[in-house]
Formats: sequence, structure tokens, C-alpha cells
Amino acid sequence: MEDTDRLLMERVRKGDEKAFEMLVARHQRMVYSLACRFMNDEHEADDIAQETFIRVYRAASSYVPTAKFSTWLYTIVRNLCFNAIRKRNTARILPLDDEAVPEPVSPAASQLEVLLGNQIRDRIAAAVAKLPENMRLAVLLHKFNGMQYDEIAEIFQCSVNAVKLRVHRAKAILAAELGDLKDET
Amino acid sequence: MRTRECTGVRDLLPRYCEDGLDAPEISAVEAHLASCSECAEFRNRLVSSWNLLDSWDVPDPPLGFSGRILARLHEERRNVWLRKALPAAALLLIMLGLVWLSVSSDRERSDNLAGRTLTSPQQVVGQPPASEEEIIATLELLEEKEFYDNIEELKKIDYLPLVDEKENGRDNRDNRSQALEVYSS
Repeated sequence: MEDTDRLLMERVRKGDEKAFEMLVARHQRMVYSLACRFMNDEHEADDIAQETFIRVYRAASSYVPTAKFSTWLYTIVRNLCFNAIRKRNTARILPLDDEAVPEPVSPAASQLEVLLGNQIRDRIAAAVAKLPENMRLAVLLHKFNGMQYDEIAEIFQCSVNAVKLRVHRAKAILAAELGDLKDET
Repeated sequence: MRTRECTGVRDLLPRYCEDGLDAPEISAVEAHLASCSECAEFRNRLVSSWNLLDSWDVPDPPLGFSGRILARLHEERRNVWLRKALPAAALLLIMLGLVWLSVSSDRERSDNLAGRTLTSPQQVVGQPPASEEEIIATLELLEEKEFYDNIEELKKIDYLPLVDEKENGRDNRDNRSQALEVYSS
């Protein structure tokens, strides 16, 4: 995978648009979902994901494969996500109470499942959104993008232990926030 | 009741769940969990909340995601080309304008000259030629002027009886004439 990415980047550097399309196709889902979970907003995630690949294309001529391509890619996502968060003057308030979720009058069994699923998803999103930015991104990269602690440390330019500490603290916070959900489901 | 030991074990639990502890630590944690139901419950919450994150689905990137990126890149490239081409075009126009102005003014001047030679040939032809005496007188005047201009050089000659330029209220030109007379005699 990594070798393929490097080869594709080499071709992109030479102006091969097809190679760029392939690169986008390989990573778009992971980049978009990371941005989506981090920002908890699909539109913002779309903007961030697009901008990420635009930057990849722009930087292709100067790209030196010193690190893994994915590490480099997620560093771009991280910077864009943090910039976007900074642009938000006020923190996004998620609907935590049941009143905010539209409730059907007489839900059928399948609808009830969907509703329950939505509620759980909202609870998870809200709990993750409460985490500090660095902690949140470390958790998402570790949990959903399958990154090891040392790779995340490279993205954050910090020690592996610092990343471990962040993830462990995040786990404790999430346990406090979401620990009761297992009983509800 | 939560003890100091509970706090210590809870700090270790995230690493315990990741198999990140060494054998003595594992033994200590397991011994505590066997005797403390609260910490055992916390361990369960830690695991269940982390596993619950797996149910957090996010949508795929919107349709036409890569197409929009490519469109943006094409747009960007076009803008870059325009940004480079516009100043060049403006410069070219300015240069062309300057060349046109220069050519038209040259033509006007030559037309005027041609007009003059055509309209007043008699004035030039009909003027009487200067006599030899007049030419010599003019040349002498010129030489004299040159001599006056070089009077400073004459002052350096020891035996030249120089007259103070301010003497008797005469002006510089009179002094020069006097000096000339003395020198020529």
C-alpha cells in the first residue's frame, strides 16, 4: 500500500492526473471519515477532505518520501481540522437531550432501531466532541484509521508515550461518558 | 469506597486492556479487580465504551467527490495561468503603445522638417556667405574666450605680473584683459 502510494506520488509529481485520481480514490474515504468524526459536520468534513487532496497535489512537486505517505496525509488533515476548529468561534453544541431528536408518534420496530441507533451515535459523537482536540484526533486515528501510536506521534511531532497517555485518558473519559450505554442497548 | 489503590489501578487499566503491562503489574491489577467491584465495573465500562465506538458510522464521501477536486484543480491552474498571462499581456500592450507613440512622433517630426525645406529654400540659399574676416573674427573671439577660461593656468606662471582681480573695483573680465596685455607685450 505504502509503496503504491509513493509510486503514485511520483507519477503525480510528473503531472499524471490519473495517478492523482487513483490516490484520491484510495484515501478519500479515510480522510473524509476522519474529518467527519473530528468536526462532526459533513459539510466541513467535505471541505477539509477536498482541501487535503488539493494540498497533496500542490505539494507533489516538493514531496520527499521521508515518512509514510499516510502519515504525511493525516498531518495535512490534522492541520486543516485544527484550523477549522479555530475558525469556529463558539463550540458546537450537540443535541444531548432526547427532545432534540425528532420522535415518531408510533414508531415501528425498525424505526425504533434506527432511532435508537441515531441516539447512540449522537451520544458517541457528543462524548468524542468533548475530548480536547489533540486527544480527540489521537483517538480517532488510533481507533478508526488503524494508526499505531508511533505513527500518531509522528503526526503530532511528540513522543509515543505522550500519545499513549492521551489515548488512555480519552478512554477513561469515554468510559465515564458512555459506560452506561451498553445497558441501554 | 475508592482508595488510593483504586486510583492507581484505574490509571493502569487502559494499558491493562491493551496488554501493555508487564507481568507483576498484571498480577497486581487482577488481584485488585477481584476484590474491588467498582474498579471491575470501571474496567467493563472502559472496554465497552471503547468497543461502542465501532458502531459510530459516518457517511461515505459525497458523490462526485474526486470530480470536484479535479475541477478545483483545473480552475486553480486556469487562474494561475491568467495571473501570469495578464501582466505579460498588459506589459506587451504598454510596449506596443510606446512603440506606436515613438513611430508617430518621428513621422510627425520628419514631416515638419520636410515641410520647412520645401517652403523656405530661398531663405537658406539666398543668405550671403560669411566673409573670411568675419570667420576669423569669430574664431579669435572663441580663442579669446578659451584663453579667459584658462586664466587660472596663467596665474601659475611665476613671471606673469598678475593683477588682483578685485583691484580698483574692476570686474574680472577687465583684469583678464590687463593680464593679457601684459603677457602679450
